[in-house]
Amino acid sequence: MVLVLALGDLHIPHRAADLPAKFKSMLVPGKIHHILCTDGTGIHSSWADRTEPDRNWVEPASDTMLALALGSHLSYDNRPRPLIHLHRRLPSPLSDHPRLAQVVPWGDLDSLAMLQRKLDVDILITGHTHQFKAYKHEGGVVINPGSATGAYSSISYDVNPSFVLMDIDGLHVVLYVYELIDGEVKVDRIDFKKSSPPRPTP
Amino acid sequence: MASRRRMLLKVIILGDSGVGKTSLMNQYVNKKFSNQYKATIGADFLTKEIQFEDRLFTLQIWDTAGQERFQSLGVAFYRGADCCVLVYDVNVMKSFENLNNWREEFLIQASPSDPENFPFVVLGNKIDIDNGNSRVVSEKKARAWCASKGNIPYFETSAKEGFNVEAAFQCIAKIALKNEPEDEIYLPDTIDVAGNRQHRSSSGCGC
Amino acid sequence: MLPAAGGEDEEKWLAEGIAGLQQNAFYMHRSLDSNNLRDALKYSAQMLSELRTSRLSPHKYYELYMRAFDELRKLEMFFKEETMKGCSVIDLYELVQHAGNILPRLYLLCTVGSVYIKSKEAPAKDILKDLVEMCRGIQHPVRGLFLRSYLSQISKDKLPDIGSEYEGDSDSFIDAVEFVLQNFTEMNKLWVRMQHQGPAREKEKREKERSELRDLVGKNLHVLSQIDGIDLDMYKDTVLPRVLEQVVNCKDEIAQHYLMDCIIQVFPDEYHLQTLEILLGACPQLQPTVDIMIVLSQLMDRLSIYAASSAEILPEFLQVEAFAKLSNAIGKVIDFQPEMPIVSAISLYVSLLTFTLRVHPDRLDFVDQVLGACVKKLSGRPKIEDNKATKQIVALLSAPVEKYKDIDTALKLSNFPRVMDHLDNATKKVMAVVIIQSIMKNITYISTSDKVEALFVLIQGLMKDMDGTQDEELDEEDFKEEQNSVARLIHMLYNDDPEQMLEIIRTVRDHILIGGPKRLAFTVPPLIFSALKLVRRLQVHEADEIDEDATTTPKKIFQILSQTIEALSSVPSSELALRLYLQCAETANDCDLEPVAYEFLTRAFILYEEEVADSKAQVTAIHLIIGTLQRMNAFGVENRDTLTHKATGYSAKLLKKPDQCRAVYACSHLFWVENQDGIKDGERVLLCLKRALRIANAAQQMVNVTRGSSGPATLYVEILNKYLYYFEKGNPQITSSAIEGLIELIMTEMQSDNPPSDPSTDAFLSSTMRYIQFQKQKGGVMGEKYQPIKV
Repeated sequence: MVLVLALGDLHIPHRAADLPAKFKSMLVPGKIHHILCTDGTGIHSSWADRTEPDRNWVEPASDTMLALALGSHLSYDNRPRPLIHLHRRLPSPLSDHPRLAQVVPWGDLDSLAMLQRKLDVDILITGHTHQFKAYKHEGGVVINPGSATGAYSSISYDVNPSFVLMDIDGLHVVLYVYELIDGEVKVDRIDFKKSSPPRPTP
Repeated sequence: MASRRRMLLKVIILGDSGVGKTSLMNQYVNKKFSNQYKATIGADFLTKEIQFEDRLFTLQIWDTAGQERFQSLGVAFYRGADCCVLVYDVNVMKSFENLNNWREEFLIQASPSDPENFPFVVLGNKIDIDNGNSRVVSEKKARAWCASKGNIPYFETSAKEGFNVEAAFQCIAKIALKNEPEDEIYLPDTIDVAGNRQHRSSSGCGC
Repeated sequence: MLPAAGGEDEEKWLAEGIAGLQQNAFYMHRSLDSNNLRDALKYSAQMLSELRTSRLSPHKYYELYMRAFDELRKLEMFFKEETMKGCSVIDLYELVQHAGNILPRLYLLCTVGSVYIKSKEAPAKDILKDLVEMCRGIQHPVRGLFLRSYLSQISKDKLPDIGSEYEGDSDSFIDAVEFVLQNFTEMNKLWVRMQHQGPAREKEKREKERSELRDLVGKNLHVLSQIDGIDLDMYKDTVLPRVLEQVVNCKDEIAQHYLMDCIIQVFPDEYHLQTLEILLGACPQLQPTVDIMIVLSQLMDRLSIYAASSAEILPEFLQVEAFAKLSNAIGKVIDFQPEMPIVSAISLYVSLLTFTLRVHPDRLDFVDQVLGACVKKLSGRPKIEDNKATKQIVALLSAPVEKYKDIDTALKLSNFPRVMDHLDNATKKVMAVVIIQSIMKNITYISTSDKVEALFVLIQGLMKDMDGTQDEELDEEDFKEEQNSVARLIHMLYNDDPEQMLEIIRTVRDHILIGGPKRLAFTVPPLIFSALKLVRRLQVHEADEIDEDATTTPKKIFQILSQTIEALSSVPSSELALRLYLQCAETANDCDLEPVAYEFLTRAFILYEEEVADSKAQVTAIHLIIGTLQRMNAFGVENRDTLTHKATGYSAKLLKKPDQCRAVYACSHLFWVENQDGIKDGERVLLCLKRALRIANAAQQMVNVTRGSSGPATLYVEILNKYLYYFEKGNPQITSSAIEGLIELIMTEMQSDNPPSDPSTDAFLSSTMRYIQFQKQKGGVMGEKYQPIKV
């Protein structure tokens, strides 16, 4: 079992002062294995370094990164397989070609699907729209965790701060979606199970 | 001589500043209590005559300064103690956490011959405050600590209301009495050297 | 006085003393057991002779004393038994006076005296008076102090206090007080005199010994505090003045400092509160070397804890004007001691401030008074550079900020910025960070431009280069962190009212524009987004058509934004400026302000042309431009054509072929927008895709093609996916046969193995093929659409 935290579009300090206090108190260090961040403009790393210094952070170089793929292959058998090959930077092939991840039109589902096929991933994390979204697509999952700070977006009006915690266990992914609505944290749970037939393992 | 020695029981009260050491002693000896905080300076004792199994004893209770800066002469008065009472305030976690320091400090300084079995009693004081709503050290926790240190007897007290004070000191007296006297057995030199010693001592100014 | 001795010698002397003491005690016990009073007295006097030594330090002497003390308890019990058997205590009292040496004699006298008082054969006060007088016989400081301490100890429970069994006539407790006061005075004299005995070179050692002995003197005050008869009046009229008289007159630094501390600690709070004037009145009379700060802060600490203990106590503080008295006393102490280092003076103010914040949190005027007094002390001096002093000032200024958890309150303190004026630049920055952190931590919004103005004065150390700092080496990381904190702060400058918000934005702009090029990159973006948020709010308002002739309009805001970003583009932050222009363009588009949006985009293009030189940055920028443009719908045909033409043109001019290819196929989306008044120009979409294919082909021809996943074969598959995209969207120009042709082309290219295709391209192709299969089998409209495609 692996816990992956997806914090999207923080935009600190350009568009937001800080994470909401309620989120901060929830994001205590220790339990999370990986943290994915779909935006790297910010100084959030000072927050991150304080709370999760040893975790893997994935941060694109700038907010031009409209989508980020997480190279996670869910395991079909019981063989252990490195779930996420992450370093401080994006995993190959994205690290060489950050522009690949720019999806035009922004937030367009069909265009994201193309990216998912290209990267051959089960879970695709995207951002930029500041709206939470999660859906199954061709056997994979596309997740936009929204903006954890509720930052200004030219695309979405009235952004509620949100983030996603993924509990990945074998073929099974449980998403916990935390959204701050009128000062209260609302939590949703979404289950995904990989159903498509196994591909040959390399 | 031994019988006379056993008539006096020496008890030392230790604990952080403000936990109520002086108040417990005053409540027990004088049946008095004052809400005012007055720091203790140095060490001082009160005595109380007690009757135990048809014998009369004098309990010599040493109250001590909780603030280190008021203990400038050191702790030579620990010597010959028959029981050490450790007091903490149930409403102040730090005072409970410090019990261990007080206990160890006492064992080092008083260096009783059998430190493992030296009698201690722990008092959790001020249980009256806010009807116990502000307490931060649970009885369970305190008892667990006492158990881990060789089953130290434990009492919850209120010096203000006199609650359990009498019972606590009864127990203190009882276990102090059980403590084997530790007087160094003095064997006099075969020759009476009193005369010579007089001479040596005169190095003083003569007063 | 004491001969210089090593620790070993001292140990030896102590051992000798103990041996002598034990030996005589042994014989004393034997005499006691055989009821031989005369021998018992002889041996006990010999035993006590050991206390005549001058060779032990107070610590060691105390050990010896304690042993003698324990032995004397046995003697005392014997005396008691004797008197119970009918022996006259008066005779005993006479008898012990035959001891040859005065010190043993006095110890024995005190011991009998204790029994004498208990026997009640004479009034306690007479016996005590006699004893305290007789003790004058010992003028050696160490021996005298211990002897008197013995007297104090054995008499403690026998004082004729109110309610005590030894109470005499109506006012006999006064005798008890007299007795303790007298003993205290004598002991203090002995203690102070010690300082002046012996050679000057041993001063340090003497001071150490004196310090060890201090509790013997202080204990008298503890005894006084335990006398029930001392009520407030008596404390005020007799006890405190008498004690203070002794303290002041002894003119000894160690004694004064210690005894003041004792007075504060042993007597109850309510007494202090009611006698503040008397107690504080002594402070300026103390020796200049006495650290009044510690003394007073201990007093204030106690009082503030007392004030917090119950709500009923507070009125008492107001009634006695505790703050005014303390403030006054501190002022006097500082005035009386012109030599006092500035750090001590400020520390005094810090403790007074802490006191008033704890006791009178609602009295902002008190806080300002303290700061004002501090300003007065600092004025006329050069800027403080003493590290300790600046730390104290930071503590002074931080106290109200932390207490009120609300910078608004601190901004009301007129003396706050005045104190800051006296800080050096580095400390000003420290303070600025403290203030910003407080705002962030407590989530305080600064809601008017006046307050923003005041705040910026306080944090000016971060907002602009200060005089004299240009040459300073500034750590890059520190600077970044500082400026990021300013950036975050800008989001806290906020008002719901658009008019006021615009004012705030203007104020912020004026301040950040003078920050210099290095700061702009940090401070401009948050201001831009703050302003864009305001535009958003106005949009919502406008929809409600509430205010026709509002002075705050999106247009005005965009004007400010345009100027502000321009400042940024003139410094080397062109890519950032470009991005901000695009954000503004999008928002202007949403406000239906075509010319404004057009202007912003044009500026973005100019920056792209003139400033963005790095090829990677170009790729990023062009995709952003395409993405932005794709979303915009405010443009008329002509403007749109100009802009899309530029975007496609730049896309095709990127440095590397794969980059060109991807940008060009991304441009296809500029001609196919799926919204209500959508643009669906199938032909131009196809043109873009064909152009992308040509570029991919050209890339394939190049010998030195980059190996790896983004090789040309991948480009083909990407384009195939775009074909599928438009095919599904119903672009009539994209036919099933075109798709089949493309698939065939890809298959050929992949088989040619030049360069060898890599696994990720294979995987991409096969997942694309799987997708086609999936769509075919899906049935329905989409399945039908896919049927003609043969794979």
